[in-house]
Amino acid sequence: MTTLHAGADSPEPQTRASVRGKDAVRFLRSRRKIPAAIAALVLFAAGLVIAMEAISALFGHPGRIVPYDRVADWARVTTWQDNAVMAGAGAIAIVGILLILIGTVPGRPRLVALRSGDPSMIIGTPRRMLARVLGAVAAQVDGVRQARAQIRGRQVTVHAGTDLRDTAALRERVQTAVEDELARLAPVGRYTVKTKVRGAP
Amino acid sequence: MNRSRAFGRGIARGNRTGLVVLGLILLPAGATALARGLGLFGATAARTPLLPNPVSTFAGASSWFWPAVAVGGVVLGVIGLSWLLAQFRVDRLNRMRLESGPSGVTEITGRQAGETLAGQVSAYRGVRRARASLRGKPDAPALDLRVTSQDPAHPDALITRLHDEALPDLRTALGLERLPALIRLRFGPGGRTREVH
Repeated sequence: MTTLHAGADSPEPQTRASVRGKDAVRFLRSRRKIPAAIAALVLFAAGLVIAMEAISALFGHPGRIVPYDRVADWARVTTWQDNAVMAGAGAIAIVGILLILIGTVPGRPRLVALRSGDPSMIIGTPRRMLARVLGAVAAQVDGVRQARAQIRGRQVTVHAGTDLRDTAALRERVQTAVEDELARLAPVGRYTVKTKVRGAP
Repeated sequence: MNRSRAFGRGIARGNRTGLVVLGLILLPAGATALARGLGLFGATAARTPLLPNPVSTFAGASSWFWPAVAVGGVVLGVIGLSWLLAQFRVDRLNRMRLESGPSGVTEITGRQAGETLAGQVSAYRGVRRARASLRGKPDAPALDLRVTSQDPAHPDALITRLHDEALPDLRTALGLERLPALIRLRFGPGGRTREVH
């Protein structure tokens, strides 16, 4: 995946810079703290309950928290093809799938990684801020009355308004300005810019 | 990788590994139980009870079953608790040795270095606020810098300035040749002025 390069001052060849860009993106992945905390809490609680039940069974006072005798009697009678058992098994399997997915899928990118040309400097900025910066650049083009940029996925859409009639030339200038700024900031990933200009009627 | 651990990525890798391992235990367990109930292991297997008599009497008769279960429960609880506590560990580097000169070893706290840098960056044009903290270990430190810019922002100029001035200054102050840095740029709440032409 070729990406926009940071500029003439970075000495690295393009391929190495791209690889480091991917490294940078990895740093900004979600850390999955909340699912991990929930899973850890469940494990802790389960371990606690199991230990307490087993210890109290050893000392002959079964069923402190979970009524072990009732559960054991139920388990002696219920078969594997019982509806409740199969539903529970299915639920466990689904939870297992979800955990695997949560653990492997990178998650929504909270920050866009910007390339800095220096591999030990990782820069991240929220997508909204990148859009705001590009919008500000577009708004500074001569003839533009106001401008706004939206970033969805890898697509930047710039909406500009002007008092002029000739929107085609202005559109070109805005497109170039935004693309230049994008090249300067060099976010990781190939972004495309679409410019829409609304002129005077 | 030193860098990964310094920026708190270690917890990312640990968490994700733990979640996947847990999922890899639950998925086959649930799937085999479901398959057994659906009769994929034979019709008789599907009709046996969850807790067959031999197992139940064995558990009651043997002297090591319940203690083993208790130990298993404790181990599980300890794993869960340590995993939970790991989420709250703050990865702040507090002490860093500078040179051991003739007057002894100079120590600087990570906090001081961070605050100095944050003060320097806060004074830059276009920056509303900056917060910096050193993370990692004394022999493998890393910088975590959060910059809140004013609106409108010129991030490329700011990035250049950080790269050319602020970071080298910090590296000189700490006597380091390299310092991996994670820089997060954002806008602050409130005070948004939009340019009007």
